[in-house]
Amino acid sequence: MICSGVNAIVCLLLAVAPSVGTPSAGVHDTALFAAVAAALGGEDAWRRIETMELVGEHTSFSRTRPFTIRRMRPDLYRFDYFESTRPAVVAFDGEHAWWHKTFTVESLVDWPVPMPLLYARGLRAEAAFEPPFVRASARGLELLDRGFAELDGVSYRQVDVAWPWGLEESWYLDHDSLLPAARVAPGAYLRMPWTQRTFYGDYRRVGGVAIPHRIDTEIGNDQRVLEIHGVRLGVPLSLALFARPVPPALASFRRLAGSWRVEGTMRPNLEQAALPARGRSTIRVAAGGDLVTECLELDVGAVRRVVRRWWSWDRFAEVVRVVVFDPRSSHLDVLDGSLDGGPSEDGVDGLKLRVSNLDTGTSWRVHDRTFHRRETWSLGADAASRNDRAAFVLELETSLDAGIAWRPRGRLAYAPAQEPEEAVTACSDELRPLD
Amino acid sequence: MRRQPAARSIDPTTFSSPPIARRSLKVACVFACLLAACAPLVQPPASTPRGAAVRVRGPWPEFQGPGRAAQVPQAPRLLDRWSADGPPELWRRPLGAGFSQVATDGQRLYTLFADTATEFVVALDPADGGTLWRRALGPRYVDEWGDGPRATPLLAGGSLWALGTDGVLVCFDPATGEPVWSLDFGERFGAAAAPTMGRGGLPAADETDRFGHTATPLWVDLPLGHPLGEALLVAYTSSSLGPALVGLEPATGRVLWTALETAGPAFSSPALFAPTGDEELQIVQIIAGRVVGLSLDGVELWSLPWDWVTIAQPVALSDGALFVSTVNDWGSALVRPHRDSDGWRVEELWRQRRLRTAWSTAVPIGELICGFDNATFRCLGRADGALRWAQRGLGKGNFLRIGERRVLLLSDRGRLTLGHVDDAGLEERGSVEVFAGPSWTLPSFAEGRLYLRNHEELVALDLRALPEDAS
Repeated sequence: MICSGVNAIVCLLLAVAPSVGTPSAGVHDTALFAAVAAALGGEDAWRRIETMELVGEHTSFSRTRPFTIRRMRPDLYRFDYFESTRPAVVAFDGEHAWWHKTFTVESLVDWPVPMPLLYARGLRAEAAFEPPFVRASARGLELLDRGFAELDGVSYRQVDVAWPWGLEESWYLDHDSLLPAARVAPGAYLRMPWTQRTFYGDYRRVGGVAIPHRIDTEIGNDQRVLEIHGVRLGVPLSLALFARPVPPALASFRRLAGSWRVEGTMRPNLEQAALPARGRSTIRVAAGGDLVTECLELDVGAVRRVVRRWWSWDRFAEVVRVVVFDPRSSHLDVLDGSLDGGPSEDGVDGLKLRVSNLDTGTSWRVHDRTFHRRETWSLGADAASRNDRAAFVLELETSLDAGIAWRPRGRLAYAPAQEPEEAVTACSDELRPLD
Repeated sequence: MRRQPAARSIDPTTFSSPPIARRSLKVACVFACLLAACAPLVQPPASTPRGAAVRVRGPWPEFQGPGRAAQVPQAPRLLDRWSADGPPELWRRPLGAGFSQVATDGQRLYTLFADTATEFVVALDPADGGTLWRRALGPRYVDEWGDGPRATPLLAGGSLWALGTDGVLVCFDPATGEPVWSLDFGERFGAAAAPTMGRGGLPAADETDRFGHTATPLWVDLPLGHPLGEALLVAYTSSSLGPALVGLEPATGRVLWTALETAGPAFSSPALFAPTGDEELQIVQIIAGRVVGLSLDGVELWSLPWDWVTIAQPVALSDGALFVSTVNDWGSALVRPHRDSDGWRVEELWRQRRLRTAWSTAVPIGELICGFDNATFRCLGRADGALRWAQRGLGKGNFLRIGERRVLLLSDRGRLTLGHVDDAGLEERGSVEVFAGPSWTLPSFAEGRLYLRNHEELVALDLRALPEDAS
């Protein structure tokens, strides 16, 4: 019945109040919001909590499995659970949301990847360490009291919440306890936007704050229920737990991000002597860490060249893949190889990456000759530190006999730029040869 | 309409039953059909299409029960309230994976299931659940959200039809399990076989291809003097290359007509619908992007743009209206297809998003239309589609109606609830935990008994009241 679970007075109010079912325009009711924050334990109690771990059972598509949610200030979040029989992770590292799941069309990628923006907007709100009613103004939230509102026949106090990044949602407060009973928010399901309804119940006090021990979400065709069996506060958690894991090979290259001075020698072709080479390079981490890019602007003799590189890791072939584009030739070269050696404490020293296009089918052909290319990156080979000595070295070689003999083409040493320099911008414009 | 040659007779080596002569089987099937033709006519459930009187085919002869309506108008005296233990459990037996409902002619129970490798149709003794016979249908369909067959056996005309997830439709003698004829939708119509629809738990590139052949064939009693004969079997082939809907001669499997070329997979089954006036019965089929009305000889009459993925059955109401609902934001709509001077058109009476059914079909109850919107049970006013009331706490379930107001709701986690629905809400009158795991199959009701299955077990409950318990 409409009035089931609602006391007679509320029912009477529902019968006579014209605003019921059609929320008011909304007011900033400071007293109400303070009362809700107090019902949730109060700002002081929340402030004392730095980390939180929740364990219990998660039901999705009618199957119940264990889950763990870990939270850490400011808003780090990690949810480990199962989708069907497969372990899954949804996490927010404070800046980026990521997941590792293989549920049908949502993600067929069997490794951790950035979460699509459609999903990430909602996750960011769920990752918030404190409920939106606690220190709302300080956190940039805007709350609006909408008065009485009905949700599926039950009367609540509706408060609209606007998060600083633009997400807008409605919360429904229990009349008596003022605890949040429901939330209606934009969500995503099967790669489509969906309205998500979440119901909170079985509140219990843990460390002075009120934690719902049953969280029941309806979205799309799925009902997701979290039944929380245990809450631990102040558990030691590391930042690494929330960071998206990336392949170790890429992790080494990600540390090269920055601006570099480049010096060395290059032979314009195999028949010419080596010429001095000088330039600069900007290395960036892209695609959430799955790609490392380089824009190299290099003067070889009197000729300026711009070379672009992309490093990635092929999980299936288990190789480092380097893609090189030289606008002078308009040739895209794909080089595969592996990292040898082990990282020292800073994760860089002693590593050597050797990649070539011997097996990638992208070798350069001129007349009746085929040019294979090989690059050897020695990370930390010439220096133990990143002072004004080279931090890493690139050696370039060419083979005319399919890799039996390699002839040196050049050697470039990368050293950190002395002053913060402007990034090399040659790659941000249309690709074109500069000479 | 295109006339087609006859279906292939059965290859006995495919089945575990002894080989039999095709001719004798055909004769048996025709004889059975003739017997069925002599069966008395009964009034259909309240929501069965007006004028669609159906012959007695058993208390729960097909998917969703009589008229595919998930309701039975009358029942023996039933317990009006349950004790904490729920109604008496008559028996419980292991059963393999599958979503197939139980069909019964009153003598035997029939359902589909899969063991570790093979899908079967099985006949069971209602007294104790013992196996009377079983026949192989094809390889086990594998999907991470639930293996096994999706369709429900169909009882009609003295025969039994079963469709495996691989897309092979087989006609059986229900008493013996002897196969009569079979039709391979892949071989005959170019329908994708289940292995390309995600076998092995690997999702297909297209989600709509994922769940194999799910649609239970439909039996149609043809009007007297109809050129196609006395009865028709309508089957959805799921073909993306050829006809997706076919009309078959029940006794032989001969293809009488084909329709809906290259419509592709659909999840809901064909249904019968009676428009207003003196119009002939129609077949309604929901396909990707459309609800389609067809004549009994397979001619498309009207079409309504609709969601791309709809699982729930269309609900034909007695006043010539049709209720359709889907889980996506298309929501629900009440429409009235009718013919005017310009031909067939579909009048939309109302549409709203407060009830978005997934795999559970809505059921009319008095002036309400009720169903599960995810895990919220909601009832809309039939006249205007406005939300009358809603109730949570029942899980995400299936339900059926017995009599005017009594409902049995099975949550997706196996809790069965007895309730009474009126315009103000749902009064719960008892509940019992039947299964511990996922339970997505609508229970079947027959002669006071309720048959429930999940991927592991089949259970029979006795809902009947002792004389002193009667309501």
